[in-house]
Amino acid sequence: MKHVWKDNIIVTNRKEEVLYAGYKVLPYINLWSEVPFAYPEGKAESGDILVCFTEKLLEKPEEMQALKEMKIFGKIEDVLQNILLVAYVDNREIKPLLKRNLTWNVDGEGVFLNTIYERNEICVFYEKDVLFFQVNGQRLCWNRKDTEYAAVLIKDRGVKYFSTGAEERISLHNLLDRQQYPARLDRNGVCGKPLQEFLHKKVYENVRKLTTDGEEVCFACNGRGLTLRKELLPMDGAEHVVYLFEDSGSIMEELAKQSKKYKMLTSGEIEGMVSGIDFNSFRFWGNEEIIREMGRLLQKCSVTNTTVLLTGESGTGKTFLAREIHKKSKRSQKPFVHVNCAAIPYQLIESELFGYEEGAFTGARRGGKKGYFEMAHGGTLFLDEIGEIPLALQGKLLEVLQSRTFYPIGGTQKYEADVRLIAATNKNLKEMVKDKRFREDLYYRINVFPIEIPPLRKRQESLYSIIMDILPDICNRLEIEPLLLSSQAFEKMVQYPWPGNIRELENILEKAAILSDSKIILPEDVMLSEEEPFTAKAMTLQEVRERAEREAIENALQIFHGDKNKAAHYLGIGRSNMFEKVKRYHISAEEMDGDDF
Amino acid sequence: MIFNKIKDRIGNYDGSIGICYIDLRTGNNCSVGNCDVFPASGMVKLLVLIESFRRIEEGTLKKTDRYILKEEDYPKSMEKTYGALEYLHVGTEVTVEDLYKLNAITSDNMAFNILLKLFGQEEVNRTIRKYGCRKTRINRALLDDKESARGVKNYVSVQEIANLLLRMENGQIISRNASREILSILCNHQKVRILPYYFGENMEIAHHSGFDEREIMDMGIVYCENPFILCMAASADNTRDAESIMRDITWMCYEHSKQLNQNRIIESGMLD
Repeated sequence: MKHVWKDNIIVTNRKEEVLYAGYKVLPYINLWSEVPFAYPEGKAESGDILVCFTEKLLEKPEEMQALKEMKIFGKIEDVLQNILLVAYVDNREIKPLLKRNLTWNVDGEGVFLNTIYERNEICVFYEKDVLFFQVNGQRLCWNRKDTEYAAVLIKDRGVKYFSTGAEERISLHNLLDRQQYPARLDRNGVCGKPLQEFLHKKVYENVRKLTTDGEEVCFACNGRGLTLRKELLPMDGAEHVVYLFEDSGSIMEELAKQSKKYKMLTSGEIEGMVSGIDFNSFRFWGNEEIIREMGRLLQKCSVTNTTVLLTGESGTGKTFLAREIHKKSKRSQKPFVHVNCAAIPYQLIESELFGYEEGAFTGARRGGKKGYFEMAHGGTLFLDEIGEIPLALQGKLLEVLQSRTFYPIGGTQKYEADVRLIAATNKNLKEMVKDKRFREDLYYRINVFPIEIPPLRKRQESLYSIIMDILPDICNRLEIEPLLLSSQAFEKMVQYPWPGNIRELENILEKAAILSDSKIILPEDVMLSEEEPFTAKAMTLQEVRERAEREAIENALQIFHGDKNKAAHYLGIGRSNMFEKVKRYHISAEEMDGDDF
Repeated sequence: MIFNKIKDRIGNYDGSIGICYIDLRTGNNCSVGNCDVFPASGMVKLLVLIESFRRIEEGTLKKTDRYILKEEDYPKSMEKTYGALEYLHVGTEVTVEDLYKLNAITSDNMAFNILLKLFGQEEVNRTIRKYGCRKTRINRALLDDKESARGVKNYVSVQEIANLLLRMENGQIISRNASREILSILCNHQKVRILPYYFGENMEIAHHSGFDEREIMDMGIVYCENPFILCMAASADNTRDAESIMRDITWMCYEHSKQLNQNRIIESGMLD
């Protein structure tokens, strides 16, 4: 029975003698074998040592060029013929050894070269018509009559390529031109070779680890991952062993991939994957310390039932975050009820929150109405703009939070308030407590786990990531082709302080997407609100001081119609000092509107 | 055989090169190359090291004698230099032993100049002449731009330094103890780009090197199973190639000496 073997296997008998080896296992063979018999495909590379002998003329310009390209000769003045060359590929500093016009004594023996080059022992000699290369103890030979050229490439003191004489599959020129040479496998040389000699030492060490049928081992080899599997194969009445080689890809590429993942993890981007919170939202992308700290807090609080107080400027994403906390909590399957306290008429807040019984008040709906507390039963109640809750109602809210029970308006039956409360505000509750506009006891009740969401201007580093996340969504929503943001447009956006935070960013991007006539958003498509006096661009203290100084002087001069004495007096500086500053800041006469400059 | 191997390796070298090999067990030696005398660069430090020991042995100098670094000792040349002394402050007190050790171990140019000034260059030349050095000569201090501009150079002969090292190994320089001590200091020479390059740290090599813009040299004794002296110097535009050649020649000599040792063992076994 004839077997069709795969390319990625080695078959041995029980004595560990190789019976078959496929081409794909060649990268794992021992390149130091005394008589080289195989090599994987490859090409001449920097750092290789080339030993080459040819009696053919090396006179074609492209052959000379190839040698030059290889940096083997800095200067070639004459045509080379009958050359023996030992050269370090790509190294102009270490000169090659070159012998030419070598003569053969047909009847006898002779040595063309015997030396050490870059610690490689190289001996080239002949016996009658047979040319021998002995390289670091490895021996190769060619018959002069059917050899166009004899060449070996040495890497790490092992032969990585050798020419084969008559059946040559790559010309010397192409070899020197660093073209790919095909793999070579001398089946006669392989058959019966002990596996230990056949394989690279490290690979063989791993082969030895495989003891049972079906066992596998994974390890790194030549910078790539390799999985080796051993299988027993009864064949022709004897038991054979098949070693299956599976290349698992470049370790560096895998490392890069894993490192990227690690970076994402440490930046909090996919923190949720391991900790239970999914922060893969654009709004919280970023690696700034402030975001990482916030991520840590959210991670902690999401798994508990604790009351969370989200603070931050308008538009920073408090609502979104409240939803995220809910989604990641144990209550995620239960309702999330969002109550914007600022949007409910003052008089209705109580009934909206706690509901009412039928006939509780004039206009009360028949059958009563469920309040938000009841609607959120088992889930999360998000009280947005909590600072807007009337002082009179704050006491009742506090009572509910403490007793975990409530009465609907007009009701006598006590209801359980099984809700997780998340409150949010853009107001300074502490100040409100001081001003007696917010109950202190309620403040402490809801301020159990405060999280402050930073404004966008403090997250300039993440601006690009946020935009890159929002923009496709916006294009999708507008049903237009995906748009790119030009670097100039981005630069313009970086300069802007984003008083309206992410909400404003979304609006500006949406407007820009609509205005854009091409596939790229240009700076003129980005319509920002009137420039703020102090942009978000990073400035040194000196720059800030100078800018303020200049503006103060201009302002004072305008007030006093350019009268520098009055302006200087107004600003509390001397006249000469004023003169010097006007000069330094190039404040023009028009701005001063006066006549004494 | 070793002769041909070296010749093959230096066949394409297009500068001046000189190599001297001495097998310490048999005294067999070979010299290869197209030159013997080279501008000395750092190799002159070996000469003041010998003079230091001559004076110590003679009793006119003590290892513990003190020297205080003075402003005028510091190199004025803009040339980048070797050593540690110039980074110490004026007024630092050092001993004679500090000076000759820094001179030989770190190839400290300032230490060399101080010792040369203390001894006088003619005194140093006279001492080495006694040991057979005719072509090897100190003609000026190191980093002396003025003399250098006038074309004044120091010289070493590869052959003479090899002979000097041979005498030293035989305990014939100054005294047996002084020779031992000098060699032991040379074993700590910190420039390892040539002779020690292919060996592990455990290989004892007493050597001194010299590097200059166009000169490169390393001369010493490799204490392998069959110890040998190898002195090499080259002068060319491309000293990197010479460096590669010298490393290879060192390895050739080492392999050769190993072979000689094996032959000796086999022969002695046969005799037994």
